[in-house]
Amino acid sequence: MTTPEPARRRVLIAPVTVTPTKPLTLSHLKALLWADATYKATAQVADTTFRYSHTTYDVTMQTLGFWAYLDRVHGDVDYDAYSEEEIGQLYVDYQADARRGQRADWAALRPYARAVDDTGWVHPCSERLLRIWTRQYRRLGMYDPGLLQAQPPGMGLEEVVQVLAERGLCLDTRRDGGPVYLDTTAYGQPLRRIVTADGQPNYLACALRELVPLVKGYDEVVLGHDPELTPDYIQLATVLGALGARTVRVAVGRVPVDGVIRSARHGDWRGKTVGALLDAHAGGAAGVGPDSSLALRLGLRLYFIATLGKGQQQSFRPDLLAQCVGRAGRLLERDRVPLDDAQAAELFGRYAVGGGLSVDPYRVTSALLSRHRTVPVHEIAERALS
Amino acid sequence: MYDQEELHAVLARRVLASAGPQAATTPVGHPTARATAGPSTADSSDANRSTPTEPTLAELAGLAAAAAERNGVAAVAVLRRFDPASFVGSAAGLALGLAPEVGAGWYAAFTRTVFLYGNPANLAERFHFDHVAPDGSVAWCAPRQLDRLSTLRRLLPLVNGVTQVDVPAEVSVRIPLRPDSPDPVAGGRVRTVEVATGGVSLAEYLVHVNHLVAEAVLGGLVGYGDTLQVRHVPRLGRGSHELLRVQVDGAQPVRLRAYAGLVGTPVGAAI
Repeated sequence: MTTPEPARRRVLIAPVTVTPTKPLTLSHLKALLWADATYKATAQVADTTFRYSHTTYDVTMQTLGFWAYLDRVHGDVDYDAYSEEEIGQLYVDYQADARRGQRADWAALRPYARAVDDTGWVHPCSERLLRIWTRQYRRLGMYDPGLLQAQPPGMGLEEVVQVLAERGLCLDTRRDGGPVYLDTTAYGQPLRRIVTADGQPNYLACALRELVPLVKGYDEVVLGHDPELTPDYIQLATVLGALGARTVRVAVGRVPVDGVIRSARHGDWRGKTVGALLDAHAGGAAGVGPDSSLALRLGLRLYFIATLGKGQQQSFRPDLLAQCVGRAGRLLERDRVPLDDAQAAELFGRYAVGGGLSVDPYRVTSALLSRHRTVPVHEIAERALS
Repeated sequence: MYDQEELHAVLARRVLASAGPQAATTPVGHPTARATAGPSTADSSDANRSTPTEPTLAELAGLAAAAAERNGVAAVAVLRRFDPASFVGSAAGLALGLAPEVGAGWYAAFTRTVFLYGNPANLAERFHFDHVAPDGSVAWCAPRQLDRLSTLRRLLPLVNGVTQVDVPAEVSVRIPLRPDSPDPVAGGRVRTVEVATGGVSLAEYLVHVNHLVAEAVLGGLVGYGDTLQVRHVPRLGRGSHELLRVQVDGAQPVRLRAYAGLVGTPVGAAI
C-alpha cells in the first residue's frame, strides 16, 4: 500500500503589467525578468499560475486616454508600419497634449472601456506593440502569459464593489455624488479612491476585479509592483488578506540610466529600450560556443536580478551586463548534473521567500554566482532562468 | 425672500456674538445668542438692519475667521452614507450630549465641523465616537482642538464634490428622549426646519443643516423628545424664522443667501 502524495500547493504570480503604450524599457525588463524567474522557479515546487492580463488594465485612463488621443489626432493609420519607438513618440506627444489640458473626460472614453470589457478589444496601435513584445519575449526566453489574448478579469466593476462593500472593505458614495473608496481603515490605512464619482476606475480597481475572484484558489499570491506603488499594494495585500489570501509583496526597483530614473512618458527611453538591447546583443554571447543564446538569456538574468538586486541604486552598466553574459557562458561550460523533478523541487525550495512557497529569484541567481558552492547551472538555467 | 440688508444684519449679529467684545461672556442660550434669528417680519426694529456702521461682508469674514481660530475647536462627522433624517437626528444628538462649556466653545467657533467620508464601524476600534446614528450612517466626535483630529484627517477624505444634493421634499425625525428620562413616552415639541437645496451640494447641505440644528440645540430651541420636520425647498422664502443660517451664496460670492431656518416665533416677539 502506498501513501498518496500530498496535493501540490498552488501559487499565483500576479505582477503589475506594463501598459502597451510605449517601448519596453530597461526598468520594465528588470521587472519582467524578475516575475518570469519567480514564476518558473516557483513552478518547480508548486502548481503555479502566472497572471498577466493586459485586458484587465486596458480600461485605465493611461491606456484609454492614449487610444482616444490617437483616434482624435491621427485617425486611421496603419500602425503595422510603425516601430515601437515611433509608437513611443506618439505616447510622448499624447502626454504633452494631456499636460496642456487636452485630456479626454471619462464620458468620451466609455465606448473604449466598454469594448475592452465586452470583447477584450485592443487598439491597433497597442496590438502592434504587443506583437513586437511577443517577439522580444521569445528572444529573451520569457514565458508569454498571453500578450495577444483577451483575458478579462473574473469580476465586473459593480460586482467587485458589491463584494467588497458587503465585507466593509469598500465605501461606495456614488449615490451621494462621491467616489468609491477602498476601505482598510480598520487596519490603520487611509481610504483610497478606486472609482471616480463619474465611474472611472483606476488600476487598483482593475487589480481587484482580477484578483478578488482568483485568490481563493491559491495557497499563496505573489504581488509584484514598482516601489512607488508600495502604499497601494500594501492596501491591496490587506484586502486580499482579509479575504483569506496569503500574500507576498515584491517591490522591484527601476533601473536608473546615468543616475536618473526616467519616465517613459517623457521619451527618455531612446536608445535604452529592450529592442535596442537585444539588437546590441544579436547573435547571443560572443565566443561562448553553441550555448550562446542560452548564455545571453542567463547573463541578462544574472545582471538584472543578481547584480542589480531589488533596489534601484545602481545605474545601468553595459560593461557589467557584458561581464554577466560572459560569466554565464563560462558557467554553462560546467558539466551537466542530472536533476529529476523531485530533486529540482528540493533544490528550488531552498530559495523560498520567508518560509512560504514562492521562490526568490535573487537567491537563485546569486547561488549561481557563489564561488563557494557548486550548483547545477544548466539545470537551474533551463528550468528557471532562460 | 429676504433682501440682502436683512441677511447682512443676521450674519453680522451672529458673527459679533462670537467675535464681538461681549462674546467671551455671552452664555449659549442667552437672548443675544438667539439674535442669530433673522429680522423676518415687517416690525423688525431698525436696530436689526444693516447700517453704514455695520461691518462689511469682508470684515465679517475676517472677524469670523479670527474668532474660529481663537476658539480652535471643531467637531467631526464621519459619513458612511447620507440619509437626511439620520443626519439631522444625529446632529441634534451630538449637540444635546455636550457639556455646557464644550457647547459654548463650539458656538464661539461657529459650530465648525469637519465632514469626512468613512465607515464608523471600521473605525470604532481605533477612535472613540461621542455619538453614532442608530443606523450607523454617520458618527460624530465632539468638538475638540483641531490638532487632535489629525489622525482621522490623515485616514479619511473630506466630503466634497459639486453634485447637487438629492433629498426628498420632506423628512421627519424624532430626537430620542433624554437617556435618564423618567417618562419613556413623554411628548416633545414639533419644530419645522426649512432647508434650501437649489444648487446646493451635499457638502454644503451638511455644513448648513448641521450648523442650524446644532445652534438650535445649543440655544435651547430644540431639545430631547422634539420632532424635527425638515422641509427641503429650492430657495427659502421670507418666513417666521426663529433661527436663520446665512452664508455667502456659493453661486454668487458677492451676495448672501439664507440656507436654512428654524420656523418659529421671530426674534423680537415674546418667546
